[in-house]
Amino acid sequence: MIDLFSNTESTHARIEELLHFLNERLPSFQALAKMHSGEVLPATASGSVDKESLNNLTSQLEKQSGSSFAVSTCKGMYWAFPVPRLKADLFFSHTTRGIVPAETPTLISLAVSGCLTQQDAARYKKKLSIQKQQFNRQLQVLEQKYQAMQEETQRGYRLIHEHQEHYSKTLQSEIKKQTGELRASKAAAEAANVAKSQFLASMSHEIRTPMNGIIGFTEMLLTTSLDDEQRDSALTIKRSGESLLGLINDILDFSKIEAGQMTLEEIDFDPEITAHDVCDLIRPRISGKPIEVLCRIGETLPANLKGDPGKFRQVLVNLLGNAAKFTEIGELELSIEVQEETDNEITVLSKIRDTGIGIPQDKLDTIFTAFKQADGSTTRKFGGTGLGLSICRKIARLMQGHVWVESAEGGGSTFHFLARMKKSALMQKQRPLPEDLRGLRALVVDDNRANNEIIKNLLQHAEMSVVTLDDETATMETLAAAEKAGAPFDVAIIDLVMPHLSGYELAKRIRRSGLKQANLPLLAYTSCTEKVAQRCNKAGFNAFLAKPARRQIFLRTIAKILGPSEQKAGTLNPPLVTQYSVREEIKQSVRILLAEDNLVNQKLATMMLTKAGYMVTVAANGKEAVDLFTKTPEGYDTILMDIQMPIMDGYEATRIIRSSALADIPIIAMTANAMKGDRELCLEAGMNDYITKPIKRTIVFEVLEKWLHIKS
Amino acid sequence: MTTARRFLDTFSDIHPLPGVVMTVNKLINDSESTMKDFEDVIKVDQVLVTRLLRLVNSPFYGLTQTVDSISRAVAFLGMKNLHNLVVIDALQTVFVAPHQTKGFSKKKLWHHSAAVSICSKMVAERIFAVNGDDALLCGILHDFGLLIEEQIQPDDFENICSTCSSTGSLVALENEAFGTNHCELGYILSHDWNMSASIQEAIHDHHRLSDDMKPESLAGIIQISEYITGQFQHTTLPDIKVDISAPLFQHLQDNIEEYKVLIEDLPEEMQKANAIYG
Repeated sequence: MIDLFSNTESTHARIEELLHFLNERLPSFQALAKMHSGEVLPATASGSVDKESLNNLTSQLEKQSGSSFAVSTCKGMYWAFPVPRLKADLFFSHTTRGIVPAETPTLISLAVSGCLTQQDAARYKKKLSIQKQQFNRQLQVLEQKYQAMQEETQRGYRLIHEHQEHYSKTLQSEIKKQTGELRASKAAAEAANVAKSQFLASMSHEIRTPMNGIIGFTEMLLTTSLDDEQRDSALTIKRSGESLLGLINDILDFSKIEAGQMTLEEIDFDPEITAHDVCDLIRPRISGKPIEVLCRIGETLPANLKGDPGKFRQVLVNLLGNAAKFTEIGELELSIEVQEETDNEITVLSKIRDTGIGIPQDKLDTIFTAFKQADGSTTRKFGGTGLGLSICRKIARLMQGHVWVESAEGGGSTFHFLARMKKSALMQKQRPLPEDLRGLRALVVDDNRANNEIIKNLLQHAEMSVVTLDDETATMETLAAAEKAGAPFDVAIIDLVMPHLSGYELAKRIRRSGLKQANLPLLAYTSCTEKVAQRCNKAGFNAFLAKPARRQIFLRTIAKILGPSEQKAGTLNPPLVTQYSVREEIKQSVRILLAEDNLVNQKLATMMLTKAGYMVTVAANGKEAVDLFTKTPEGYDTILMDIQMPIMDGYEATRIIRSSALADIPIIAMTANAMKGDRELCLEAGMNDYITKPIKRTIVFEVLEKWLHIKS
Repeated sequence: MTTARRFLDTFSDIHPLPGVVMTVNKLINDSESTMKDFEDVIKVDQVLVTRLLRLVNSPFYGLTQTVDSISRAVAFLGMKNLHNLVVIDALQTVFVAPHQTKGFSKKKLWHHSAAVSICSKMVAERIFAVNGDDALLCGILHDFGLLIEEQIQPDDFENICSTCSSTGSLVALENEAFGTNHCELGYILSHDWNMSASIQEAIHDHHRLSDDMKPESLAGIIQISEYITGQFQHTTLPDIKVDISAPLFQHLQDNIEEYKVLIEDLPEEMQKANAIYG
């Protein structure tokens, strides 16, 4: 291998350069160099040099251990000078004759080092320039790298940007797509929901019509003479039919609420009647169980509220029905009180307390979930759809209220039902009860033949003459024919949902017809319970009743719309008669003669009784009471008689009244004395019953219901 | 299957290349990859991250501020440099594996590889003014084939080590004993590792004596560096004569002053890279 990087050649060159330098600067000396390798430079001088002296000098130089010295030989003066850096020794001889200056060694030394320094400087300069060149190249590379890196970074950013753009585009289109899908499926779901609701509504209507037939005919059957087994079967049919109807109603309600289609009526009704009604309805369900049903009405509860009595009643029936279902012994109590009252609104809190099995703490809320009961076994044992409470809660929410329960397992439950209603503007007005319907002519229009049969039967019991039509299109002809024959109808009972003509349309046609019977009282009789009151009123109906209506209510309603005609003539839009208004009227038509001497008690009792919806006339003592009563005996339905009064006491007054001709009016004693024997004294004097003061509206209601019922 | 392939397969069973190296090899050749991809791959191996940061902060790169995250390392050094470091890091573990063959020192081979790689980078950048990153990587890889041979057929390898006198004869002896040589092995290996074509070629040709060898080619740079480091006794095997292609020798002679200056600076550069090559 050739040693590319050995310094031999360059050393050679440097010595030659040095010798040249010395010869130029020190012309009086001749210089030659002997390399450590033995070679002598300059090559031209090798011949002329005395080799022997040179060897001699070299060996002397070695002895002097490398420092310079001067020596005199026969041939003249010589100076030796070692240059270890260049691996050579220098030898000088004097070329001119004469005195050798004493500074010769210094001169030589200076000349040599001067030359070497020059050489070094040149070498470093060269190296530096090469290094500079190389570093410039490196810098160039670094710049390229920097450029490349920048490009790389920019490319990276560009890629990221592109990715981002792509991503956001994809995202946007994805969102667009999904939104579209969502909209489509939402529309589909809504359409499906509407279809479902419509299906359920029409289904339940279709089912309800034959159900009415079943229940109605069973009722008719029950009025005939049946043996015990037959009666039992008929009753079972009726009960089963009613529970099936209830179930259908539940499902319909639920689907309506779910579809947001349930709306509330706003009609005047008496919550007290509703409460008692509900209790009456529940009582048969617990017959045979040692359970007492209590009804407590708050003293400040007004006789009239504006709201949806049907829905209000539905919730109460449901809650009390539940209570009855889960209670084996003890009591059920329904109480209604005013929780909050503002100028326009009243918040009513109903509580349904039972002494039944109670509800475990962790189930208090789940029982309000649709199709959930406290326990799976509940369904097996007690039946039910698990929809009732869910519906109650939803109805309560519609009434801006709530339904919740407080309970302990085994310790009974109390359900709370809060509902907000409007105050009624209705004033109490005397509404005399019409007496009987004998001989009146009624037209019944319903496409359902079974229903026509039921109504016909019912009206014929009231000794009315009845024409039934199951083709509604024949109505007008029938009316005209009756008029021609001189036997116009006194009342028409019309179904609302019929195949060719709706009840509304029919009512409008009758009202617009030129017949004398255009003002014929019209009763809408329908299985449709939703928000029909207003439409009925607009169409010209005088009353509406939901199928199936109780016999008593039905007859009362007909009597009411047949009643004094001054109402019809007086106002264009007389208030619509409904099952609620009829019930209220039954209650509100009660006229009480209050005999009480104490002014404070007078005021208190009057206020309470008026608020509860009764008509009150006050007598300050027994004498006054007797005078008032004997003047218009038919003007009062009952007398509340204080015992101790000045001028004439209660006993005396009662005796006088009883001795008169109209002795059968119920007289109820009011006494502060809860003494034993009072009752006997009262009864002896001819009073029918007795209540203690201060009087409570619940007790008054109960006593009146009892005695007025007996009277009627 | 060729002998070389058999050698490589056996070897990679013993020393599988870390997954992260394969991934970054792929990324570096993918024009769609970004610095972010690069970071994400390396970040997974936290031990590697620590080692890389130590290397990045070594005097070799002469950064003025401390780099404490891979994202900054990529930003300062670029993907190529970091890729080199990842490969060097992976190879080092193979070189330090304890195995002794008479007349052959893995440590010495590592030092040789380190010297050639640093020198190659210097030659590339200071003489030819081209990016020396490939040269650095090529330098560290060029003799890797020897390790494979030593691993697979240690006896034959030992025999070669004791009889070989020059780099030229080394290849001939390898061919005779194994049916392949470390140039071929390194070439296939670098191909497997997705190294650039010029690196593959340079490894293949680093002992090929040819009259048309160009000094500025990567193979030329590697041969020059082998020759220069040989002057410092940084040889593959002890006392081995380093052969060089004639055009390269001529090039050296023509530019001797340049190379002298470069050689003067070589020890200092190697000192700086001490952290990298150990």
